[in-house]
Amino acid sequence: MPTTRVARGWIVLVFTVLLGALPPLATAGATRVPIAVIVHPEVPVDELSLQELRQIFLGKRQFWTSRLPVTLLMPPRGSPEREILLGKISEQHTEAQYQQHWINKLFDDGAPIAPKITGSNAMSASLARGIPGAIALVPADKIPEGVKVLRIDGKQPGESGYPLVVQMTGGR
Amino acid sequence: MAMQRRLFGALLAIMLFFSLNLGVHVWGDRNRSRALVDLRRGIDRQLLITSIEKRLSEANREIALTAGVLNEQGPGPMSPEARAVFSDRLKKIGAEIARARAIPGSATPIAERFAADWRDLRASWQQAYASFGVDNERAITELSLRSDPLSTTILTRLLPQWEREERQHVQEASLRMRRVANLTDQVELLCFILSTLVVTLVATKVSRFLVDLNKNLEGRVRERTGELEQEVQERRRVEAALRESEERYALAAQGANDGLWDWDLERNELYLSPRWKEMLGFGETELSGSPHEWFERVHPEDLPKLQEALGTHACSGTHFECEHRMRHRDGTYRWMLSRGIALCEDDGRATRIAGSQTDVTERKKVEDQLLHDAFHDALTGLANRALFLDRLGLSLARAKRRQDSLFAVLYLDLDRFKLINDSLGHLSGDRALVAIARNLETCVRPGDTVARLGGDEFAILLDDIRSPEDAERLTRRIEDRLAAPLQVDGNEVYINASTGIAFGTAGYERPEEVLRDADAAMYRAKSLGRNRHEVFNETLHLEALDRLRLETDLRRAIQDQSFGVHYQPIIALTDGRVTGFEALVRWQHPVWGLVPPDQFIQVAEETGLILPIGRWVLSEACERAHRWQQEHPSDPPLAINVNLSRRQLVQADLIEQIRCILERTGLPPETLQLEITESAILENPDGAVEFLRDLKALHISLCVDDFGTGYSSLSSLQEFPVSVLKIDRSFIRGMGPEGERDEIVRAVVGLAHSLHMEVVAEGVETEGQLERLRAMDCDYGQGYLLCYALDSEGVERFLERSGHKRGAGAGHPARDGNDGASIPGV
Repeated sequence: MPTTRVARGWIVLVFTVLLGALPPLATAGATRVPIAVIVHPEVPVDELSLQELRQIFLGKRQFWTSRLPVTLLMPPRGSPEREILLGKISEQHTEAQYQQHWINKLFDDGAPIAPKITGSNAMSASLARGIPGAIALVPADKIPEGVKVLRIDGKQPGESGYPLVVQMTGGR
Repeated sequence: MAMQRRLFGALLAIMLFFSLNLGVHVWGDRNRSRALVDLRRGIDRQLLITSIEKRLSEANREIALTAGVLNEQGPGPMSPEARAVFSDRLKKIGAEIARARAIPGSATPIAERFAADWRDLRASWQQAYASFGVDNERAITELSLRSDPLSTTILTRLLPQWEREERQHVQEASLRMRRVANLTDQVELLCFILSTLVVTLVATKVSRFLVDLNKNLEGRVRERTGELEQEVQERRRVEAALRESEERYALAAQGANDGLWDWDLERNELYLSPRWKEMLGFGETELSGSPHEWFERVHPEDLPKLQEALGTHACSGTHFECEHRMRHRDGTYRWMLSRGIALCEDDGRATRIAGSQTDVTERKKVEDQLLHDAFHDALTGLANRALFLDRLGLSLARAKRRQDSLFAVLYLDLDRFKLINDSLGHLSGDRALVAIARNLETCVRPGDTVARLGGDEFAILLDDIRSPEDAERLTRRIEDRLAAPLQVDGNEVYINASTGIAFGTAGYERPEEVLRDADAAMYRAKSLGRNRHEVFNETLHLEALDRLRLETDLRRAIQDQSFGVHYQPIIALTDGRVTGFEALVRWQHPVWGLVPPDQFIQVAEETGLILPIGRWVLSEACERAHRWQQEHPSDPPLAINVNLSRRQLVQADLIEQIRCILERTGLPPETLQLEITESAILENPDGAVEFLRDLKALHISLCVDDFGTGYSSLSSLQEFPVSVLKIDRSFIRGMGPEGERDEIVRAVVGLAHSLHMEVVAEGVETEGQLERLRAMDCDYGQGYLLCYALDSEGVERFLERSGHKRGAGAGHPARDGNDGASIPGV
């Protein structure tokens, strides 16, 4: 069993190195795109502070209510949502640090439910719509039907002062 | 029969005890086993639940990591290996769940709910796993909608509940097991106690019964044994008493080594034991049973005594005992002690006498030897004084009875026998005495008694002589025999004897008186020149009476203090100086007047009266001398010479007497000079040495009196504190124109001076003697020529008139005095 953990550690490390080695996203002609926080409609929350959002995405808050667990839908690696997640929400966490955080949490804290990485914004939207308690990050201009958009720090995506904004280049 | 029933009951009780205890033990064991199995199942289930929880958690994490957080698969299905691993994990979980549920008692609602949820979870996980990489959305949906809630439910609720349930179940099982164990232990203990009590009760009953039975039997056996033992003991006692009696009798007879005899007086038959016969040298079968065999062997002198003793005993019934001689087969006689007792009829008539015979020959010999030793001299074997006096007493008694009976006592004293001892030694002296004893025995008749009275004194009792001439004739024969030389240890010696003869008459009352008179006659013979005999006569008798009277008067004189001391000056011949005085005792007899010393000193010596006389003279002389020293001081002080007799010399406390007298009178010890004759020193050389050394320690000087008459050892003279030699007056008297003694005196003076001693010449009576002595460098002189002995008043006048002063010479103190002293030529 310890051998397996070590192997996984190596995999994560290699993975992280590979992620770090990716070329930075082109910023030429970038536009500011707000990233909306969407949840399943049954989630009994309309607004979160950025701090509360950070608690959720770091796994420190795992239930909406006593019967409704939080299902984290992580944006795919390299996406602007992922950047927002790592930079704004998890406070400048790198991909490797974020993954390590969750590995530790799974093994040490015994978190019963791990976040799920989606393959695309569409999948995130689809899953948020279909999984009770799901929460996902999608560009504000691609908010699907059937989900609830949460205010962050009292701001709707697109409003001034909305904290989750990412510079996006064209061609995305 | 009753005993068998009781024994059967006891056996049954014991069996019941074992069965009951065994049953309870089996019951308890089953209960404990059941509780233990239940407990073990609970523990197993708990362990499985723990394992399941662990595996489920791992699987959950794995699927979360691989399919959720890491998304490592990326696009495309999961690898077959990963699937296989995950599938294997699920199988193991499933197997463990199946094992947990297979354990009896696991069908609880929680377990059932868990099993159902597990099946759903496994299906969900399999579905999600199958969708990874193929349809991630579906997979995530599957996981999020089914797997995660199920896993959360299972891991956070069902499994903990199941585990709590099983823990509780284990605790209950444990508690139940403890209860069961306690209960069974208590039941077993109770059962054991009860059964033990029952068995003990039964055993007690049976034991009591057996004890009673045993007691009964023992009582009967003891009773019978006692009877038998009593009979046996009685029989043994009788046998032992008989055997003991026989043994005692045999042992006593054997131990005593006695012979036994038994005389049947009625049949006149005599039984003699083998030992009795053996004592007389006969065999067991020899000698007949006639009393004649006994009596004919009794010594004829003892037979009347034995027969008389037997006759007296038979008549009186007293114990019979008689010592008599019996003739041995070899002809010799043995002394036997016959003892016995008679058996008498009611009328007092003896019918039987039995007893023993003991050989007492050795004892008789010892007694005879003791008797002989008591009355005989050990050296010569002659009769001793006691036996001689006894026989003399018999002769005296016979003389009293018979007027015509005459006996004589010869008292012999060997002349100068001391010379034999001194020259040849005491051993040779003893041999000479034995030889003389044998010679004396050959001179007398068989019935005469020859005795050694002690030392060199012998006595002969001539009993029943016809006339006094017989005794004198025998005495001459003895003198002739003794005149022949004796060979003693290769030396030829001549020993003569002086003999005193006393004839027994009716006038004597005691034998000692006869012996005393013979002794007196012997002394007369000695005084008349030795080697002769004298017959005690009336003159001697008178002399003896005079001597007795003298003794009596001497004793009275001591009591009345009738003695006085006269002092004869000792004059230095060189300058006529009075250097001291010699104290001379005088006796003022109430009838005879002044008695000179030579008439009573010897008697005083012999009777011991010299001791108080000498002590008194010493005290008186010291006191006077000290007074004169104070009244007439001189340098050196006047000395006082006091004579010591032989008797005084052997006194143990003499030194102490002298020390006391000196302390009391205050006389300086160095001015006291004690005069001792040569012979007194020679007679007791060891005692004299000790005494003279003590004198030396007291600083008292010594003067050897009558020097030249004895045999002084010059070396001993040097050892002793002898400072002065007195030349005997006999030598001085012999000095004269012919000079026959001059050389002797000159030699003595020279000898004394060479030994650093001074010389006093005694008995200086003529001018010629004085001149010669001065010519010989003689130091001092005494004698009538110089001065008579003076009483104390005379001495004081003498000293006053002589003007005796310190360091001054005496001058001519007595020449013109009226004290009878004259010092011609000095």
